[in-house]
Amino acid sequence: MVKRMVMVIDLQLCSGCNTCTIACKQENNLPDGVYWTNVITIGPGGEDRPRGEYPHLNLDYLPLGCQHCAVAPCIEVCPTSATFRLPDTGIVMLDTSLCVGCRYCMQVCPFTGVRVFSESLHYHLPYAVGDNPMAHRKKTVEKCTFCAHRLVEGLPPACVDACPLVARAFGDLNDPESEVSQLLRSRPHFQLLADKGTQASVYYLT
Amino acid sequence: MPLTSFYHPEEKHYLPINPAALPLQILEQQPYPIKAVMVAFNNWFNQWPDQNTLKNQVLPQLDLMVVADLFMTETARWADYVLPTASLFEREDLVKGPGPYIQYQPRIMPPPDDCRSDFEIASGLAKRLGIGNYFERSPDDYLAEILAELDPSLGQDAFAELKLTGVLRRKLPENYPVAFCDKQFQTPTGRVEFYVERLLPFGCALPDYESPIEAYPDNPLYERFPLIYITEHGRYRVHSTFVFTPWLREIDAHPQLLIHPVTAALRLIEDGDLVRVFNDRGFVVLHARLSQAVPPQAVYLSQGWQSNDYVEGHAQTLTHNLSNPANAMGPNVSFSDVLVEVIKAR
Repeated sequence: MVKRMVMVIDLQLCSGCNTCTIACKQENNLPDGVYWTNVITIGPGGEDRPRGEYPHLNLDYLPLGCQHCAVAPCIEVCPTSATFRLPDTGIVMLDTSLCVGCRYCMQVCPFTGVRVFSESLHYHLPYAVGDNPMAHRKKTVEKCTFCAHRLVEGLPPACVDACPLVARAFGDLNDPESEVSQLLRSRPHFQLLADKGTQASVYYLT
Repeated sequence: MPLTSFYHPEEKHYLPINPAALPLQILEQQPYPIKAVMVAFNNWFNQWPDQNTLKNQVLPQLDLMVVADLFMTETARWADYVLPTASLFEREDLVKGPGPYIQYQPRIMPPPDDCRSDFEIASGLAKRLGIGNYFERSPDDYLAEILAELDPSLGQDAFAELKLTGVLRRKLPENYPVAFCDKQFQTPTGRVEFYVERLLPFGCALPDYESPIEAYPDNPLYERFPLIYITEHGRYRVHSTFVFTPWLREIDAHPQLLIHPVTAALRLIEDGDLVRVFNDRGFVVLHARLSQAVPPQAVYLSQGWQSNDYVEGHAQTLTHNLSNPANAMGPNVSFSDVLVEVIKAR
């Protein structure tokens, strides 16, 4: 049976610590200023600023990355098939060696801030880190791969492993006994921009 | 967390000095003159309060300051000599915790040329000072001894076993970790004390409100410095540790003063403006960040930044080294009992 790998993120647990952000950078050898996942603060105030007036405040975070949509407009528009779907897991991949940097995918994606296009690449470290064999190329688009290279080893994405609050879960939605299926059965949840009909593979528990 | 146990050769114990009291002891030369300071695992010029007194009065009293560190810290900048040390991946050690566990920290790789472990530095120094006989054995031997001292029930081969397994579990009292489950308290009466006779000389034997040393509205200073300065712990550092980590600096690039929008508006300060925070002791210039997260009477600044992270000055020039004499723990420092004023910097 074909798998549908999804991520479930518990917004009641996320404390916005950005450990996922750093774990992703480390696993995927991300260049300076490049993020495949990060944590945004909900509300108009910007990063780490609460909503409301002191002392009646709310502070909520939303970890954000590629949503690996089941109906993915980025795949449709890619002229070089650099963006494609892994048939056995449903993961949306982006092969930078095929990418010509046209950025149609960035335009057609309903989510902002989940893809990165860099004019040039710089690294703080003089050596590569992490286990993702993907080469970064300047003037190409890149994004989260759900750590597909770890999945073949039977490992969850690095951000799932690293989260100190165990706010992220990962698994097969087509398996009714998987952790993610059980979580979605037992907890209220939503997908981002569900009205756009892209059927995102990231679910948020509220 | 390093082991709290310590090696005591021939029952000789080191004389502990409360680090908070050290600057005063150097200044007053009590209980004896201190002429040389060797700093390891510490960044006191950055983390201690009242930095101007440290730099202008305490440091000139010293003939020598040596700093052993991995990074060019604020303290290292003021040292006569800086010794590059091995990182935790380059030296063997024990790690206590979490809970009842003890972990083995293996040496993954040798340190770069000229870097030595803190043990090598201490033992080399001891040899030249004529007490090398206490450091003649290998670090392994001492670690085994520390482990045995920590928990004698672990047995002779505990360290050899730990090196193989990487982690071992200590035997613990039955009700661990329930605090005070035996209802035994370390007080003169053995009971919970609300009336503490030891504090009679300080006039605070019973719990009662007492003004802080500086930051309270009736303090005459409050007229000139009407904002309470609170030092908070940054999310992306442990004190000043990790302040040099580039990935973390991408997320948390530079220090920011958290200030309530109303407090800022009264001073014509807008979000992102350069501001000068000052009192009679010192000043710091940095960017303001307007936020409802802080009360209008206070400003917040996360600690650990080094002087080159600020536009000018240093946050620790604002703080003071005064403590309540009734503090049973001995001298301590408060980084949040501080009055300041904030103005827009040019």
